[in-house]
Amino acid sequence: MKQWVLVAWIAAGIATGSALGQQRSPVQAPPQWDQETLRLAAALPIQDSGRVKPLDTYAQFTLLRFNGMRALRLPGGERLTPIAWLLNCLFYPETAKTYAHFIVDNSEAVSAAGIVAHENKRDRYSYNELLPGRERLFELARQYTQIEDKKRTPIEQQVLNLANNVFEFEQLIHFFDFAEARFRAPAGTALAQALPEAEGVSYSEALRRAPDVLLTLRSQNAALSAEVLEREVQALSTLMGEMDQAAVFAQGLALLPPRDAAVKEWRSPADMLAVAFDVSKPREETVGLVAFLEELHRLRDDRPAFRAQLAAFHEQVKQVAEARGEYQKIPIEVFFYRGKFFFYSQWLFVLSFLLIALSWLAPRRKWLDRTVLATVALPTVLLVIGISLRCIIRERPPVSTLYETILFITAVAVLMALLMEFVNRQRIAVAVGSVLGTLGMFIAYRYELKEGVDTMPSLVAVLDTNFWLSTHVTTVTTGYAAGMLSGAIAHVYILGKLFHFRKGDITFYRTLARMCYGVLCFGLLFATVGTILGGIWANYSWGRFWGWDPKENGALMIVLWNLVILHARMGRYIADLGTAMCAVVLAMIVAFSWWGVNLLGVGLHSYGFTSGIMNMLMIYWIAECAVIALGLCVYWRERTPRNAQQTPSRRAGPAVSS
Amino acid sequence: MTKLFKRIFIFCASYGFAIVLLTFLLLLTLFGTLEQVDQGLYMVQKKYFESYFVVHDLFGVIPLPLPGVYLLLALLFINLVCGAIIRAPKNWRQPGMLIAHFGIIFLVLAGFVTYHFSSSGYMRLYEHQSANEYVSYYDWEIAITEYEGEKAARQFTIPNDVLADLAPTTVRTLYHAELPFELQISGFAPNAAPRLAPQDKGAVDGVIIERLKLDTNAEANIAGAYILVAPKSGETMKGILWGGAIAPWLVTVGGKDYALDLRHTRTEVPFTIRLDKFIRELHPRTGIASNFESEVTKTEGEISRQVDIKMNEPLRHRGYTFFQASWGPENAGPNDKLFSVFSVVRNPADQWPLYACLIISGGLLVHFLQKLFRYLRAENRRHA
Repeated sequence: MKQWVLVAWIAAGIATGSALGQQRSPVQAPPQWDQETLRLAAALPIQDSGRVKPLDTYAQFTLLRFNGMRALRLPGGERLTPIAWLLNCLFYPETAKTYAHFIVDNSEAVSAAGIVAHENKRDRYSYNELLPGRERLFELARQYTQIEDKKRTPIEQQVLNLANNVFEFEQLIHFFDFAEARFRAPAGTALAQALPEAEGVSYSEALRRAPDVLLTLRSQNAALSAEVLEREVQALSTLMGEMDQAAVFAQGLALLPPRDAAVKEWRSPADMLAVAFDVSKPREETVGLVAFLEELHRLRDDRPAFRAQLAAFHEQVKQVAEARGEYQKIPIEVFFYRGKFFFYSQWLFVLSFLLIALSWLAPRRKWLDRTVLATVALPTVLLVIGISLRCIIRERPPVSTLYETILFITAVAVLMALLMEFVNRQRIAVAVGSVLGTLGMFIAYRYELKEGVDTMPSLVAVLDTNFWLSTHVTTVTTGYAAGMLSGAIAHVYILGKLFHFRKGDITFYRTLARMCYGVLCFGLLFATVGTILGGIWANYSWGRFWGWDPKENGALMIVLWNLVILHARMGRYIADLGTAMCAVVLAMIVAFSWWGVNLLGVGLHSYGFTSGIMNMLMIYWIAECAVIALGLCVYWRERTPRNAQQTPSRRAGPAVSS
Repeated sequence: MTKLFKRIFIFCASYGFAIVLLTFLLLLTLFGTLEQVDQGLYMVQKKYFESYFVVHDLFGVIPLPLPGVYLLLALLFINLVCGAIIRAPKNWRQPGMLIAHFGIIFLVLAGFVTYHFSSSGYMRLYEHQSANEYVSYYDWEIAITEYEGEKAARQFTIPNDVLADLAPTTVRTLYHAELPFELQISGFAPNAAPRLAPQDKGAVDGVIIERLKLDTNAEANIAGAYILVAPKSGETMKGILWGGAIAPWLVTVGGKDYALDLRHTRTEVPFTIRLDKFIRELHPRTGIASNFESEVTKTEGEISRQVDIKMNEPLRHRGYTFFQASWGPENAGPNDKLFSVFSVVRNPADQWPLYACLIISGGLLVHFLQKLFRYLRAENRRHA
């Protein structure tokens, strides 16, 4: 979709844009925004990607997409928050053009557009640096949109992403162009009577007054001569054309909520042109809000006055949004992102693992056990709070996107680990939990960075059902979590045996094996029920219980392998070590089901498609194969005569036995 | 003999057999999933999941013969009945496993019934249009309509089974006691396109049916065939039937007009569905659909009822289920007439998976809770 917009934009505006971009002047850093202004701006609601969210959220993901980070570090060492960065883009475009906030992973992408590349292959560029190659960049992007997604090279994709980001940036820096424009009418027309000011009127004033002229013309249509009518119509259409041109960049930010709750779309200043001149409908009071924006722009250098105007605008928008029932979650979302729950959770997990590793060196103490438990419990609590806040904000169960599966699976795996630690106090489950927590939060962070879009998006119609999201999706992802946890415990078992960790401590390894087995059982329950529930959902939505869709198959494979392990264990084909090695395979299958099938690009679960993770996945699978090979080494070592008696004998027994 | 039966029974009931079957099922599921990228779902489904045997090309080069999923599920059914029901210890120590396995048997049965006795297709309706039949996504039939004057008097159909197994060189002759001619079908191609080839020997009016490679999206395949109408007296007529033709092929035999049409199989339902209104809602300022909804009137005899069909809320009536599947035309303007597409399914085992799910969940829950409590008791004893 975005690519089409880009193509349209290239077709329409290359010349205009380049002219706009070339107005260079000495740039002075704008005065800093005070905290109150930033607070007000952050909590300003905006409708974006199908939902109403704080402007802060919009700013965060836009900056993340451009910059690859949520904050912008300036050459002087100053650190701009997303909302401060956005305000500077909107109100101080010349300054924003100097910000090196366009991340380019491979300098070939900029070289291809004829832009002088930095020494570092991966670096950040400013708009002014990209400007000489802007037209070439857009031309290349236009060509690359014709190439099928799968066939695009990484460089081509980067060119496309960069062009998209530059396009989006230009929309931001020229957003307030409409506020600077003045409109006049040809003398001797009815329009000139409505807009008599010699210096012209503002965009909002023209929106307020000109439609009345149109109404009058309509009512007097019959009484006017053809010549007069033509002149008046010409004057009006010229005005509308000029206004359209002035507001052409003011389409991106839908900051203006209509009072009529039946109208779902919030308005951008550009939208107001069509709304105001649609005289067949009652006039929207939203027009008044455009004047607020113009005033904000006028007062941008007067910080106290700007703050007061922003507060007034915020209040106006808040009242309307509240009446529409769309403001209530805004403060919660601002709190959620300000709280940085996942960020702190990630680093606390890292810290907790270091503490646990240190605790192994110390003799066992009760207080130490408790401390260790607490160090993992704290980031888990933060993670759970973060997930809960997301549920409250979107009024949805915890998992509805691929990103949320990472958070949820991490939380469930760590909670299970904590529960196991609570039961057997070996400081093993808690260590596994902290490792999984660290890995999970790291993957979540990388995924968010890679996608660079709002992680609480609007859902397609088939997914917009809280019943199935809360039953099928949560159960099946709990099954994934159990699979990963059992795999992680299996690593401890195999590597522990390999490196003679606690050599001869049979109880320790029996406990590990029991934990692994227990989690496998738990995983089987949830994976089976979740998979069947998925089938039942599919039967309700698509009319078939099972369609051999890759995502369905992935879940089925988890169930099947779980069954293989448990039956092999019951039939004594495998013992503890075998179970551990099979649990590692299970973790590989979970990875396939969770991420691998998304790479295939086929099937109905298109919301889960993602790309660019193939390398990571391959590395993971190879590493796991290596762990299994190490497990085999342990097996061969333990098959020495001294250990042979421990190898269980097979028996062909009933499929059900204790 | 009894000893042999006993050994067979023990084998069928064994863990080893179960493990082998489950492992093969897993492998086939994996291969079938990966193959979908190149072959498409429909072909993969036929090759891997609805077959007795399959030859999988490992890494695309090494032919690997494997049992098909249909056969594996049949064997699994036997294994479950022998091992998990007949041979399993039936005591209060582990009732959960018995229940769960019973649920799985029920689920496999549901799959069997669905595969053999269900039928599905789609119904496409513009606003204010009615229909009482649905159209198959994949199956083809030849419809022969007999006209009396301008009015269609009778219709005969040659079903998919008669066409689907036709090899490219096979000629099949068909007749019906009430039809004054025989039909010869030849050169049937599941995916074909007409092409001008006046020099070709088999061309009809300079046109041949060109056999095309099957599309990975099976719904996109359009069948074609040559047909010969041989009246009991008089000259034979050769024509082309193609699924994408705008109009049927018309012939006159014995003074009566007949229209021959190769089309997707149609199945009648015992009531009529009329689309009153189609509603499509988008999330504001996006192209993401938030809701598809069809307001329909279902009429059966004299009784009419208004129903809303939307995503996740199908209409179920008389064993048929109507799902909101899609809509069109894709590039429709604001004032254009829209059509709604319903996926129609008739499945006697429609709700069986739900029952199976409840049984399996209950069984597993009981079993693992019992295990958990035993484990916790053991841990408590250990700590004590």
